[in-house]
Amino acid sequence: MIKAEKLTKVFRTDEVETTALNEVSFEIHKGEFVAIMGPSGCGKSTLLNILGLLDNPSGGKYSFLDKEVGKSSERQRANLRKENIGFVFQNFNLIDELTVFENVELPLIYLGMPSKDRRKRVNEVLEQMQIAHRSKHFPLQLSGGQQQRVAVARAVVAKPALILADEPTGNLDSAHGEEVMNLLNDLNVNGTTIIMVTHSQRDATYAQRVIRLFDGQIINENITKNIL
Amino acid sequence: MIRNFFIISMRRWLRDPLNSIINVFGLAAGLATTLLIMTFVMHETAMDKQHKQGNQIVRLVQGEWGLHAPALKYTIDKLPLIEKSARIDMQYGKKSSVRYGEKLLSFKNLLFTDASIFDIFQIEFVEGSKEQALKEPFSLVLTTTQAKDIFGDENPMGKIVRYGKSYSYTITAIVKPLENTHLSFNALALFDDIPLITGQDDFLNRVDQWNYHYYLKLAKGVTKSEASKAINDYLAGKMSWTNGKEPAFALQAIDEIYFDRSIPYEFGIAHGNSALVRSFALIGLLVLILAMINFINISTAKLADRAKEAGVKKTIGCSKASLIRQFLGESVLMSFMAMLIALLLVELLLPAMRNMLDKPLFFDFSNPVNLLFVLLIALVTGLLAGIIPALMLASYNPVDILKGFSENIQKKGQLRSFLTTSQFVVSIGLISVTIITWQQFQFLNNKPLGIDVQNIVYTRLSPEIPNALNAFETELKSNASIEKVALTNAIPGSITWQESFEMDGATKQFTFLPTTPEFLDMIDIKIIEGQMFSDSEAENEKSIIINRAAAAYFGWENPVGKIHHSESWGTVKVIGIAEDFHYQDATNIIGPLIIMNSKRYAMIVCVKYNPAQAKAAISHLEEIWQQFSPEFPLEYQFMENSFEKHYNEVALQGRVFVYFSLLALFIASLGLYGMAAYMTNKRRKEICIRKVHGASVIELYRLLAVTMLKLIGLAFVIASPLGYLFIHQWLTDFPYHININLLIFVFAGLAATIIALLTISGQLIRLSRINPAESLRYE
Repeated sequence: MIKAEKLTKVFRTDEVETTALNEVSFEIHKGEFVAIMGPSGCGKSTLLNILGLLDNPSGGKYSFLDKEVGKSSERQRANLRKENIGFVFQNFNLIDELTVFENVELPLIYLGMPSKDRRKRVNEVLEQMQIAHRSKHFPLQLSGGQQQRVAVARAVVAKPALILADEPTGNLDSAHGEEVMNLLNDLNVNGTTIIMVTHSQRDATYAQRVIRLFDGQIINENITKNIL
Repeated sequence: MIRNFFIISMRRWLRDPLNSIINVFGLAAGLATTLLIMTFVMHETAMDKQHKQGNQIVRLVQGEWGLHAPALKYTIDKLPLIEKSARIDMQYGKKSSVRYGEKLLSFKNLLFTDASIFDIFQIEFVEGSKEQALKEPFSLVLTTTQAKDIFGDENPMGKIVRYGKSYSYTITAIVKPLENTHLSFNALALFDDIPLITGQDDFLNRVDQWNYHYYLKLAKGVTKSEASKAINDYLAGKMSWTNGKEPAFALQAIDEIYFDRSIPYEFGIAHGNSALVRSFALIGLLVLILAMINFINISTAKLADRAKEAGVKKTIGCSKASLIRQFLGESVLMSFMAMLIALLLVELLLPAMRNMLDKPLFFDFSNPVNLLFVLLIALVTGLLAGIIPALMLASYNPVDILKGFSENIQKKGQLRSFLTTSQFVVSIGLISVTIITWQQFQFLNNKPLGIDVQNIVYTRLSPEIPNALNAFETELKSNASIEKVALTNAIPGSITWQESFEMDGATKQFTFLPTTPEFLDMIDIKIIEGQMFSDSEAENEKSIIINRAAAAYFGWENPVGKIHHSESWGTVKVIGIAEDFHYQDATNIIGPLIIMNSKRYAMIVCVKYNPAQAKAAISHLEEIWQQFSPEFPLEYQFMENSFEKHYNEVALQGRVFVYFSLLALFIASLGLYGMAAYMTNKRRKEICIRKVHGASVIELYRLLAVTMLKLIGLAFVIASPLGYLFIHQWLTDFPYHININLLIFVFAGLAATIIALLTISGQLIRLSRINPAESLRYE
């Protein structure tokens, strides 16, 4: 599903050149649950952004769904994203002016789904995430755990093949964190590929494989459990 | 999707009501001001544009004269290039009254004219027809308003009213009043009635008496120059009364008359002030630009708030185009809302403006051109205000945005600095221009006239009085409340009689005032050389007094005692020089004036009363008037006011100009407030960190103020010379004007600084209440 070959990302400012990713190569297959770990500044989020088609690499090849996408235009990337990828962020990134329902509905709107189908699908997902009773509330009226469940609901509502989670439990207490991890695990069991950046050793145990990054390079790949 | 962004917009506005109100109402106030100004500008520029075939309608002028002799019509009518011509008299009917039963009513504007007027102007008949209206002598056409005044709900057609003492006029038609015209009337009667009423049998054949306006309708396809050439060619050699000079008639298009003030010799024509209309248009544009800058400023300032939304949407797969559409749509929606409020404000404020300017101003919503214009302004404002934030937001990399609070976004502030500086430029410019404008109008209002017009009432003599003039004067003086009574041909403010005198072998043009020594004494005209008129005047020579300007104008060293011979006035002798006084309005330069001692041309009686007994004096005047002139209602005016009337246009419009400038300033201040709020908010984190590390409020204040002061400094350097140039140019339109005090620009700069610092203070007080720990956690 994902094939990274010598991915490089260099950030340049007037004075400094920082290599965030240095010739990173790996493959991720459909249905895998992969955790990316490493200390702060090791390039985890940069890698996730490239994988999520939010950013282009400076060098190397990146193929997504057997297509080379490393040099795609913004428009092509936007189309690929909306059809195939769901995002979950550490700080939830919900739109404060929209209700829970409306936030979750957003990806379906951009997919051009008719309003009746949208309603059905959103309600379905909200039920699944056990947050349906708060559907008319605004994000700021919810607890962190609830907000992250809404964010997960938004990530999965369009049934993407891939979910990218950037420290999904970083802002949550352990109980809420576990809830979210269980949700992601359920999704994975049902066939969704998940790539998660995390600091948490405990969260990483949900993954089948851990890619460890240090200073922009993969230092270690180990399998935590058997691929089903 | 539209619903979605509509929802976001609404909820966002509701969450930050103060800024939303500043933003929407600031724009609404700006748009309303622009629309109000536009109604005025459009009203002024639409003058006389309502006539069908308006390009064929012209007025006949010759040099500085807009008036011609009665007999000229018969010549002009022979020319095939001219389809119709109509004479208009504006004097005989100016002060006239009619009696209907017991009712005595005065006409403000009865015009004596030819029936062809209906073929020239677009006059709409309510009753009667243009063929019958002015067919017979002593026919009277009334406007609907005048008819209602006289007859109430009765049908006026065929009714007979008495004009003057003994003329019976029959109402033959009712017409709608002409609107938007330099030429207004309440009633029309036949020009050919004038000799019947005045008893001048040869009147219609007179070639001297240049007192009548001529309006012509040219034949189709004939240009003004062709027609005027035809007139001049035809008249060449035939006009013994042009002093042997070739006639030089010219034609003025009807829609040019209103703004053309180059024809001083005319009566009863309403004129606009094109310079003022331009100033208004300029300020309207300025206000619109200011309001738009505010709107753009606040919208871009709020960019950071919208970054997360843009980032999330982009991540989810919303395209750049769709985001741009959303933000553009939102700002267009907002500007349309502002436009709706603006239209409401216009409806509310227009009556006040109508009263103030005394002009029938309307905003015609049914006119598709107006609507289109309004929609276009709203659309363009919305697009302009939205395009910058939309492009910026859409072009950001979502990764940068979603990392948290992006410093990138904050640093792209050059555009906003530019806009804020331009706002300060406009503010400083406006403050200085407004102050100087105001000073100029104060200067004109307080300018000494050189005469005393206090406690004087005057009225035009009715046709009944001249026969018993002496008795009338004596009776008037008989009351203790009345100090002086004097007769004159005209009063200062409206002395317009032009006369030529043969002097030193050349013909010279003067303003001419036949009056009495009593009148000169009443208004306290000072003789600086020679003497005042006396009773012991030589029979065969007339005494004249000239003003200082006349002596200077003609370079006479010792004018007193000089004797001149004039064809029309015989031998005249200069007996004195009077100190200059404003005999026309104070905005006009004082030109050469000749004052002649003559009761014969008296048309006005003036009464100076004891101010303590003003009431008694007026009722005495009324009583005596009733006794001598029962057929004409008394209409008196205070000389003081009537003089002011001449400033009215300048003063009133000047005042309105100042109001609009103040409004523009208010809008600019609103924008500054929004900017200050934004700037402090933007540096909230920085301020909090400094606070944590022990910064005092004063230090924080300095921090914020320095940024603002730099922009103001730059704005000051740009605004002052621009403002100076503008106001300097404007002042040269006035013959008498103040000198520009450069300190005013410094003051304007200081005022802008104070406004800016005040707004910063307000924001800082808000910030100082914030717990830094909370704010930093939020960041």
